[in-house]
Amino acid sequence: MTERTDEEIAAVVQAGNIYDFGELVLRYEPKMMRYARKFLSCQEDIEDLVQDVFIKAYSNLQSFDTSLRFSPWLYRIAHNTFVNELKRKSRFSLGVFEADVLLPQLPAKESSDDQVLETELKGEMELHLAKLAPKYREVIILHYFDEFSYQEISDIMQIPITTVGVRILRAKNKLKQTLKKLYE
Amino acid sequence: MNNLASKIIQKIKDGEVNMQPRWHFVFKTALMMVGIVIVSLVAVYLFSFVIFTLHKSGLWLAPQFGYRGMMMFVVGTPWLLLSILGLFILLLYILVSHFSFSYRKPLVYSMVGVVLFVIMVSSLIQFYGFHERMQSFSEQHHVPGLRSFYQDSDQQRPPGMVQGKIIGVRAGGFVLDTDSEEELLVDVSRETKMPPDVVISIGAEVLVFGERKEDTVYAFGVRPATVDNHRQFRPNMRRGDFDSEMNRPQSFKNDQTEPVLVNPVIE
Repeated sequence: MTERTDEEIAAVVQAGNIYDFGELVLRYEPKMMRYARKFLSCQEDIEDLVQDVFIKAYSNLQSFDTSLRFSPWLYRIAHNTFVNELKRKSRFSLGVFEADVLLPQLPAKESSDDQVLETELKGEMELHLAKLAPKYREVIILHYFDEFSYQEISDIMQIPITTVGVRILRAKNKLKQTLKKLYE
Repeated sequence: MNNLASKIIQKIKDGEVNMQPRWHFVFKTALMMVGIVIVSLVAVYLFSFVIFTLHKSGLWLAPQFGYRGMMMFVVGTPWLLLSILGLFILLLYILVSHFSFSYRKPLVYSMVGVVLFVIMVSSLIQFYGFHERMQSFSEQHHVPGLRSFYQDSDQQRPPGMVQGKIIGVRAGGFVLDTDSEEELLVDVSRETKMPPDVVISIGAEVLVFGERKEDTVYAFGVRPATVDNHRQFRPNMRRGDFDSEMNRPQSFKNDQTEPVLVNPVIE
């Protein structure tokens, strides 16, 4: 028997079977915990925040269109929750009028070389993510660890697709510089 | 089921967490759409009204008269209305930015898009004489608020800009009976710019751009009030007929009643 998709489970929950929501929580809890830990770069309140994400997801589940992918929708809720937490702790600017969101950027596309580099860098990246600013850290987590496409990241963060590419490129360069300094 | 999943399911069972019904989201989306439509209409109305007042007062012609005209235009522009319009455009942008077609592109594109939309629709509305019809409707039907709103727009001229009927032509200028029922002497000099072939004659309706000192307006520009607005003014044209007699008359008594053809001098 094939495993039900997230979207199928979400449709069942929408129809009134609340117990199936537990399955979605089970599937996404580790990812959410990792996302929260890396994005917020702290341990405190992580569990409460992730619980908050799932509670919001349940409350708003009727707004989810089951013909679309469930994970970007859930990550959008998580993004808002975590950004609000960063704002609450006054460590994060609003970001709406940042230059890379405001102005057009040259598209930064992935290449096969990049992907090889990414695999090699992934382990190192994880160790040094905390050194990046939240806006760079988040795109790296979403792209390399949660494997979202640029367009999905654009939908999660509600920023232009080209800005996603530019932020990933800048984040990688910053990480490379950090690693270079460490190994010199 | 693990700890977190059990906790959440328990909360749902206890009624601490409720799923919002679908109509709630449909209603929210509908409300946002209605909001976008209303804000767009208000923004378009405001901007077209600004265009209307600039046209009606003739202030939009002021920049043709060089630096002083440009300054007059800046001073006379209804900045309060434009500021309110700016707020509505910002609100419109915020509402639109929730949709993927907006946030997937750089912010500047959406902003320019919103501004262009408002400018284009407003220009179209102004072109088809919407505000003229609104004004006559408000006057005919005595619509409270709207009537005074449009009447106030008639008095949106900065000091030094007057419109009226020429009641006398004199050496060095002419006498103007203004819309606000004042009699003013308009001083015309070499510096006064006029479109070619303008006829300064008694009974002609003109718009005067200048500096007002008591009952005299030292004109730096004169245009017919019922002007074909598409006619372009060439910047170096000067009014020449009054050049020889620059002594301003001491009284407003009319000493010439025949129409005078003013031949422009190109320097």
